[in-house]
Amino acid sequence: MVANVPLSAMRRELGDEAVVSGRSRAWIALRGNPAFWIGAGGVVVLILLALLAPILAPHAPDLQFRDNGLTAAGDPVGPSAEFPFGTDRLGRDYLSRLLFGAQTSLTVGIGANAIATLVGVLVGATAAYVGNRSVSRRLGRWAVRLPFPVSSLLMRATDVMLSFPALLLAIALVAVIGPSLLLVLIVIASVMWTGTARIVYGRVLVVKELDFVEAARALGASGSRIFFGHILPHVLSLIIVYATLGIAGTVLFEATLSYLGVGVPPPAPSWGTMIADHVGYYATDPRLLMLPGLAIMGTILAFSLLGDALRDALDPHNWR
Amino acid sequence: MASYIARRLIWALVVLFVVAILTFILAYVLPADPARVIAGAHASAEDVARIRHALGLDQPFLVQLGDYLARVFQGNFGHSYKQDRDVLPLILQRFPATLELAAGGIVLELLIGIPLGVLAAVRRGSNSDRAATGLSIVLISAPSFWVGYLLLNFLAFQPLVNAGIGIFPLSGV
Amino acid sequence: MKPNGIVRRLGPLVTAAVLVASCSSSQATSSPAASGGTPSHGGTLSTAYQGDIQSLDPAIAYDTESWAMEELLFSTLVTFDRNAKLVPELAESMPTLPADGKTYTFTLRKGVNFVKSDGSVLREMTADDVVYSLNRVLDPNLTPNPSPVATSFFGNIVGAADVIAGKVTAASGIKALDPNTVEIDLVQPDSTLLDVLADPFGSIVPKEYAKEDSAAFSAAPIGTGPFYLKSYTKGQEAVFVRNPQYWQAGLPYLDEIDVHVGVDANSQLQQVEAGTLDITGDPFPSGSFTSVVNDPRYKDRIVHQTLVSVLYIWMDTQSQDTPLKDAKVRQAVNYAINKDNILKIVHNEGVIANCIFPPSMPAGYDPNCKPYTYDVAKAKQLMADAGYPNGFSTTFYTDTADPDPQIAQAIQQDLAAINIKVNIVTQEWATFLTTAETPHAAPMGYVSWYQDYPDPSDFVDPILSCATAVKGGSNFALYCNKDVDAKAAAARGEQDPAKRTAEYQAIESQIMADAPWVPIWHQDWYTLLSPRVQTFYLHPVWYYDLGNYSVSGG
Repeated sequence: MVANVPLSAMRRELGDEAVVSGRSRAWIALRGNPAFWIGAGGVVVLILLALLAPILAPHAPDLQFRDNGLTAAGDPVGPSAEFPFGTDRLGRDYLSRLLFGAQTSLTVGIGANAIATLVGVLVGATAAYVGNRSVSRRLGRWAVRLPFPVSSLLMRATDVMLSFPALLLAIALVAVIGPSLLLVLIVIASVMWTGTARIVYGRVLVVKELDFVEAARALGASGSRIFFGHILPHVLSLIIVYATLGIAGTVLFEATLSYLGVGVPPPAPSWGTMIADHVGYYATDPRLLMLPGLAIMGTILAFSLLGDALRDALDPHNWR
Repeated sequence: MASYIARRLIWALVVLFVVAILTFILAYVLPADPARVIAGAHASAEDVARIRHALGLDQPFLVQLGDYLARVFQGNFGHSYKQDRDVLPLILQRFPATLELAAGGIVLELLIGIPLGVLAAVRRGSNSDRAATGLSIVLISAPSFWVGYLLLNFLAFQPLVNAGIGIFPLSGV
Repeated sequence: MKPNGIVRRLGPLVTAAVLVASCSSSQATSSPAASGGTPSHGGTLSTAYQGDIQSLDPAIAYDTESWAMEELLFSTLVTFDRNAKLVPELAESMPTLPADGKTYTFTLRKGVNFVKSDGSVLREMTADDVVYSLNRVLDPNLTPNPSPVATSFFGNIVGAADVIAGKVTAASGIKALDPNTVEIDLVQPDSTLLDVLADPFGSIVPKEYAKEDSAAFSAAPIGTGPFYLKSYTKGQEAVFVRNPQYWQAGLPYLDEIDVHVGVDANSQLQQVEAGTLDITGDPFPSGSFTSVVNDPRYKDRIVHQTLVSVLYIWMDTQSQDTPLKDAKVRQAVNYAINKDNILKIVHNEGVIANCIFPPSMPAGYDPNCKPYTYDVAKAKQLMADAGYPNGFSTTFYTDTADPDPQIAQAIQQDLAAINIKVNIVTQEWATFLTTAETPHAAPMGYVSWYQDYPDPSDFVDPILSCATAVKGGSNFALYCNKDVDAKAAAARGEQDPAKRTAEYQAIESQIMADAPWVPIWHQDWYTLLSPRVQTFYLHPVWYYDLGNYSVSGG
């Protein structure tokens, strides 16, 4: 991966003899950035917690303890030896639900974001690369120009999608199809791809005018080879950065959907659902809201820090 | 320049039009039955059917879509089934409060954000910079629907109940 | 009433009947606010609701907020007193029970006036107004939509079907014999006629003002009730002012009633505590329930009563895809549900339901009806007997309103103990109703039923009869037992109260044996009052009988 930074700048930074490759330059920038370590550390911890939840959790997350999970008045019990973080409204262990909630959030967050990124990159890059063509055909005596405004169509579709009330779409789809993890993934992806599409569109427009692309074309490379072999790699760093930042967005979206009751179906633990179930306790037992909220915040923070650090390191336009 | 603006405006209208149609389709496809909402859970099937017919909800989809678009172009945005009011007055009635909230939010945003940003930039690399940047990135990561309840609890409820001090009301202004 | 409350004004001597009515309480209420003493006259009472008032047109509105308001503005021929007993209101006395069960004659009270929106007299009410009002409910041309109860409540009146079909404008079975006498003829004998006439749908309205434009009449309603509407800002507040022309001397006590809408339950509690609100209109939020009920400050100011309601699981008795069509399986489910636990989840805000009719419905309640207990071993045995020792999977539907999703999850764990694995689908209310009333779309689910009137027929015919086991009907279990149907039709027309109760109790036992449902609990209604509230009781039908309350100190 070659970054478009003048060698003179590199020499000034690292000295004459250190002509380093792009990959190493990025790594040097990253490792000096505390945000990267905090973010990456957080992400690793999260992934570990999610993967090891079945081992770490003291109880099953869906098990309602009928005997001692609730007070006599029917309220959740506070932290104790058996329930380190207390129980919820149905007498389920809160710590276990938090841990398994990490599985839900990360699955949906990363999964939806992967789909969204894929779709966004394809749409944006295709729109920018293909542009607005028109094709001439002969029909009898007439020469007809048929417009194929690929770019306009794709980007207007993106506009429509952006203007669409995302929540309304999500609620309607869940109401029609029925709630499930897969549907939540699809709904989130179908709304979040537009951001990536626009960014990729802008970048590909720039990249395709650069010298090396023209050189490749002059050497006779086919359209798709240029597209996949020369243009996309230059967009790759951008994609990585915005994919990471996008995970923060999809995690938040999943929490919002669950909060509104149109996320993963009960009794699956999701941090958003845990908040929604216990809003009535905001004054009388704040622990019930604090813990899942902090979990969401921590997750989004970790991915945001990581994404920001990656952007600082990988995006050559940020080099000073 | 003028033609650019004109083109963008026309596209904006087209987008609005498409979104309106899509939203209508969405509401139509939803299994919820407005006639049942009006009639209530207890009404018999016959009575609900009669109400559905009176509201024109049993007409073919294209007829309903056509009626809807025709009304929109005349400025009649329909009638809310649940609230038994016309939509346009309903939205307009809420508008001042929405404006108040949005404007208030922006003012607060600027009052807090601009000084903090300037501080961070002027003292780049110092502890104030780290603190300001750190604080802002942490708060951005907090889900807004959650922060609302935290603020409600700590700024409105706790002072009121524990110390009798009413700083903020529990609802309203 | 507070024993040494300051009585600022002793108005005209209150009739003994009213005193007795406000002092005695045979319901299971804790109502320290209404015990002895003379209610004071004057003052303003305020209450608040979260939901908006649907409409003030009595032919249309079908929600509890609107009904409470309509009780202030309008009067009906007969009404329910605070013990759910039918008593005359605009009729001078209760009609004699017809020999053939089909002809009811009402003699109207004289001197009852419609009141205008400025408090002055419009004119006297006559039998023509009664005829017009009842026909208006049948009118298919009301805009924007006709009444939701034309068929179900008034369809049994002779000629009603023709009015509903648009063939005639007046039913031949509703006659004004003279300016003070009204006769109603029924097609089939049906002793629930008086119940439906007591509901706000039977309100008497003036024919020159209550036209077919429902929205117009709702904005400027005119009736004969104890209050008239002074102002109404939709989505915010409605203000009712004492009707000086009210035909009942000495009533109402209050000068003014303010009803705020769009106020959430948490704020209602806080406002009562701050003294800016007198009565909470909605149940306490689940998270605060325990702390409010145990708060020593509120000790004498919380009133609660078991509603005429039943909250239950339905099972598709005609299901082709699941074993639920087997009665043994449904009985197994009945044995498998831990109702004590569910009641605990809702902070014991109710009582367990062993059968269908709640204890607050004396006309049908059977304390000896207890066919099923919580017995997981027996449930498993029944499942094995039915041929499903390894259980089955199905989907369980409920709505998103708290605490229904929580209860659904508790039920899910109970069913898992007998190997029935359910996936829970929660839907917003309107979607949920549409799904549940589509045959076989929802094989199992949890829902509630609240009365229209406190008669056992209201808990059988709309939800457990063959006629309603159709698309769009409220019989989600698709329960159809022809024998039960025949018995229910006979009981409906039965006039002897003791016989009627026995007949309905037998019907209840038979239905419970078929087990289309698992009745789980009957809900209580809780209210917090401010210290100024003097006369207060929870009404079994409209919850708040604002027109008969009083405040101390004015």
